[in-house]
Amino acid sequence: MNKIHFIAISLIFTFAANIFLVVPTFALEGVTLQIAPTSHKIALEPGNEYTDSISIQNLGDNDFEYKMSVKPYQVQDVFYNPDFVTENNYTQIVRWITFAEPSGNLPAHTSKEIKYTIKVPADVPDGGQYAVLVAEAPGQINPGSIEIIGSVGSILYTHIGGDTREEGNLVSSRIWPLQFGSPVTAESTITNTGNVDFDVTTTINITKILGGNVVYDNSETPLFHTVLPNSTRLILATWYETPKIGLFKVTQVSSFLDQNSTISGVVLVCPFWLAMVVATIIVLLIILIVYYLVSHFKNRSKQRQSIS
Amino acid sequence: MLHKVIIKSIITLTIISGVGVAFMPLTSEATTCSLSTAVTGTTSASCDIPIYATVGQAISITISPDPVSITAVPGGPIATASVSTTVVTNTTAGYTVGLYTVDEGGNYPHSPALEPSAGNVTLPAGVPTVGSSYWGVKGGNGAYASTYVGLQKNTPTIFYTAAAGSYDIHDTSTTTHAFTVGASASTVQPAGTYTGKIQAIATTAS
Repeated sequence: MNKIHFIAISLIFTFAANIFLVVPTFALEGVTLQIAPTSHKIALEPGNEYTDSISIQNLGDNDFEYKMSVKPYQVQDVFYNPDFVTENNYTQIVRWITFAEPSGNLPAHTSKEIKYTIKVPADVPDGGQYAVLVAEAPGQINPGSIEIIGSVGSILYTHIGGDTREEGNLVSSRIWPLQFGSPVTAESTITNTGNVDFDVTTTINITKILGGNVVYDNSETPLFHTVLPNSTRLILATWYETPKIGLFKVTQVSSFLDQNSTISGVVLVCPFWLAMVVATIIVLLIILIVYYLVSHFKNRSKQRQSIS
Repeated sequence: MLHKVIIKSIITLTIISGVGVAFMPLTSEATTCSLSTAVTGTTSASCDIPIYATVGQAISITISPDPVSITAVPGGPIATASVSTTVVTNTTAGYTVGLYTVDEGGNYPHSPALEPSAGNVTLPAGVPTVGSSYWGVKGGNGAYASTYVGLQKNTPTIFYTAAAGSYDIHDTSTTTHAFTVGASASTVQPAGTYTGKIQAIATTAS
């Protein structure tokens, strides 16, 4: 009887201990899918065929079935939020692309080269064609739940030989003189009026007004942004390691096609609360001065009236 | 007599726990190193650590958990579930994460309503509100950071935008972005299960 008690109690303790020890170590992690490269720039000719490949990797601990697809690539607004739904003359390439292995198993910790072929029809619009190659890791399907599909895209920028027009202009450049902490930014807005995309190279140089030291300069690693045809893009050049307060000279240079635009300005960086305190003090001072002047003139007019 | 049994049990438990604790790191290693794992004896373990060398620009996404389940009570409060997306890229131009609803085949645009397992009354996309039947999402750093939006059929919902230089791939606080899926049900919404799909797609902003 005692032995039975002993064994039973030991088993209960052992079982409880195992539950607490084992559960955390078997916590499930999500699926991780990677694609490379993140974009391609390709020159195509009408009637020709082009073959290339992209790499997808399963960086997680579980095998999954990948699936490849092609979607149109356009943008929604000047911030270049992508639009993978809208189709127009610049997204016909979606119908020309096929994958050698559009779906299959991707074991954990492996990568796979996915070949794709672009068959360009003979009668296609001149200019650019844009699409995104999407690799997805289908999620779990349970009744009564919402499946979350993780996917990554590689953007295709293609130029079709023929009557291509690279045209664009700078709409505006701006450096705000008062900025509330990190990051300090300089803006430029550029419109593409041609029928192919072009790249904008942006550099930013920031120097201290007091002392003239260069505190940030990205001319060694400038920013590159692509502007699609029939679109306008707002480009921000930023400096993130901004001190809480300071006075700086900011110079931004934007280069695209055969154009260069330089804009400079003095920027006061200070916390928002400090700006509010200073603004409040200034407003109070103005009110006091106005009150003093009004009182002063009223008293003078009263004195004149009493004299007369 | 009973106290002897208890003392013996405690001694046994101590031994078992000690052995368990001794083995625990090995268990963790075995689960985290999933390629080839070799355990020798009881005091050492080794495993192959996968190394990835990606030449060129790459972007990855991790979704957790999947799928999400929400239980909305008719006439009750908004039921929610949180989804975490982690995006890592070595590009410096920035990236975006967009949310789309897709059909069974993974195609979009697709009607964003959740389909019922029985009957034909769907749960439409919209702003979840107590007393109304809607499901929606919120989160990220865009226009819907703190207010729900119903995913649209023809308009992609960009839920997170990372500006150039605003993230560090070694800092998960700058690469992990959560969004919340919320649902509410009116008192006349048929009870049952409703199913749908969201595609989260990460692309660079070159």
